[in-house]
Amino acid sequence: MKKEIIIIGGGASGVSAALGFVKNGIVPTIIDVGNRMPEGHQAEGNLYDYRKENDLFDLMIGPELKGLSNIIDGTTLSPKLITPFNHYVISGADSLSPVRAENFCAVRSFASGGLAAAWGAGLYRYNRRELEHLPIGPDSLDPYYDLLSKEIGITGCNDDLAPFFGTDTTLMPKFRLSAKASHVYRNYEKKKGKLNRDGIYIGYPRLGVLTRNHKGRNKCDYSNFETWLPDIPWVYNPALTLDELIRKNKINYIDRILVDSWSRRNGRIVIEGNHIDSRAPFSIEAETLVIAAGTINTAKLVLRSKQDTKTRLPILDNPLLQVPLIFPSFLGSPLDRSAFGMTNLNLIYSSPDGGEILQGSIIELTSPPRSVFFENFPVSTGLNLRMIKLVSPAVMAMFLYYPSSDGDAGAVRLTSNHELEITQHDYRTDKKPLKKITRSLSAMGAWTHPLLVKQSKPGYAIHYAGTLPMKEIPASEYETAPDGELFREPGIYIADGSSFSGISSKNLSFTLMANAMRIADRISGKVKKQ
Amino acid sequence: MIKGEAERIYRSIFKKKIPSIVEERFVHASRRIEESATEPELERFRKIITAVSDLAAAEYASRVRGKNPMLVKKFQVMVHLGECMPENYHIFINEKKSVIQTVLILAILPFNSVYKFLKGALLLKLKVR
Repeated sequence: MKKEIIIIGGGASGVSAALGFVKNGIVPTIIDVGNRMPEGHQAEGNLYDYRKENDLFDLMIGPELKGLSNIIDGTTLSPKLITPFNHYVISGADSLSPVRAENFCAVRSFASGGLAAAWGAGLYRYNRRELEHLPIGPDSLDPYYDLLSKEIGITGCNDDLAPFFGTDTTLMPKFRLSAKASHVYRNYEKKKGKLNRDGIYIGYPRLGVLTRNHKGRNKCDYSNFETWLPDIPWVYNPALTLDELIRKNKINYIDRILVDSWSRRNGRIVIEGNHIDSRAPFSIEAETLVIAAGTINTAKLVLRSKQDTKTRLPILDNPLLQVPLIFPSFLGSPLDRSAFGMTNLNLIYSSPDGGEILQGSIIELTSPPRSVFFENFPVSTGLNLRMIKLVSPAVMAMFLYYPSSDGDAGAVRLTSNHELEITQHDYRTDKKPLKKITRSLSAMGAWTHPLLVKQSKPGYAIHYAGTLPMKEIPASEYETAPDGELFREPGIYIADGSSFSGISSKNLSFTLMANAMRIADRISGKVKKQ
Repeated sequence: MIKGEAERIYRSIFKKKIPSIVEERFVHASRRIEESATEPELERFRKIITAVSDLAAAEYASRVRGKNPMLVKKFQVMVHLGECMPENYHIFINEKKSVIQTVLILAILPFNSVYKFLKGALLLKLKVR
């Protein structure tokens, strides 16, 4: 079998690269494992109406007890990834791509849509400062951000965070804030003179969430099922675009294949792997190979193709602090059943002395099961249930992300039995801004204290990057050129987070998607010339 | 044995009889938890279940001190299983303003927690050596 352009991976990067080729009239072939979301749930309406009438076991835990895996197996995954209907996003990863991780939460996906099938949908443009680790500027990404924004449908607004997020004229109307988030926003508006002088800015997030119907998908209905169900139409999942491209015959799609490596034969690239179901060997030839399997899987594929068990590649992720926010004026309030159950607000800390910029996602907790609070309230059992009922409606959480570059990097190595080994030291986060941030949040009615803040295990942010850094002039076999081509590997391009040698505190998903599309555009230009 | 412990744990959390479907699910989850346990851990857990009168206090003392992980895990599992049942909806979800009740609970919380911790620690020391 021969194909001209092959993309490995059907996640956010792979699908964006495919869009880049399609835009140029080229029909690429995506090779993917492509685990599909399970069907068969009966849930509809509002989560809390549903809960009153129905046994939640199949939605929350499931016959294989996936929903209890953090307790039974000691994993530290977000509630969304372990609910039975979302678990397909990570299922099979341990057997398809074994990883031995020391002090690192290595989440891999073989699902159609990749890890973005269960993401928080934060989609942020990188500015010049945030791209300083890459040999490309915002001008070269802007057209692709715009194209993707039209494809996805991004909600947000050009408020006080526009200087950090970029002014965007393609945004959908902002969504309805939860009552607690509105409380913070109102207090911010009243006090923003002083808060801004302290480097604190609050505003709406940019999310791949629909606030009006778009491309046959319904707008958000505030039903709170985001944690529980995979087929929420208003939250963008790259699998939606993938399916549309397949349906319209714009791409070729070969699924149920795990690619192991590439080699070269008579000047062509030979991609080898296995059929997932039959285990039969699989082989295909191409002129151009675009690898977009996700940072961890891409590292494995590259190391394995080069049969290198010695080199340790760097790996980055955003250091992450989890900050609980307690709203005293909401204690004893009824649960906000129609709140938007994802990130409601963003906080930016921009140090007045020009230091690091930190980004906080202020998340409404109305969607996850209530039991997750049980492990977090350090009180006796009986009172714990009362706290869950009466205090948890007054709680939100902020995920505070720090930027990450070489100094924070862990190491990835391929072992002789083809497992990946990831080692990482504990992150050293600067706690000085934290005091200012917690004090400012308390002034806005969201009480918290640095002592309540929990540092997440490395890898928990799932914003992996940096294994194959992009350089203006690559000089080692594990660096890539500005057009994504791997050093001394003509025709082999890297189009996912691997090439980001530094990541800002803002989620890199949108930027890696725009970059994948940019790389596809550059390759298309070369192909057309030939 | 596991059915008996299911009944005791459920009652100490929810103060009522365990529904048979929850009992069945708990037995399944319990077996999974016990797969990775050592024999001494299992033995100690069984001793706690049979000898300690206030299981919730023992669980709280264990949770605070990072001990008896099997007891702590089984309580957590039971809370999750209990939440699945529509009959427990109002145990987890507040639908009306309850400020006074919340203030009262927050007021007694430190005393109750200290009392339960001491009680649990003492029971574990006296009954489970």
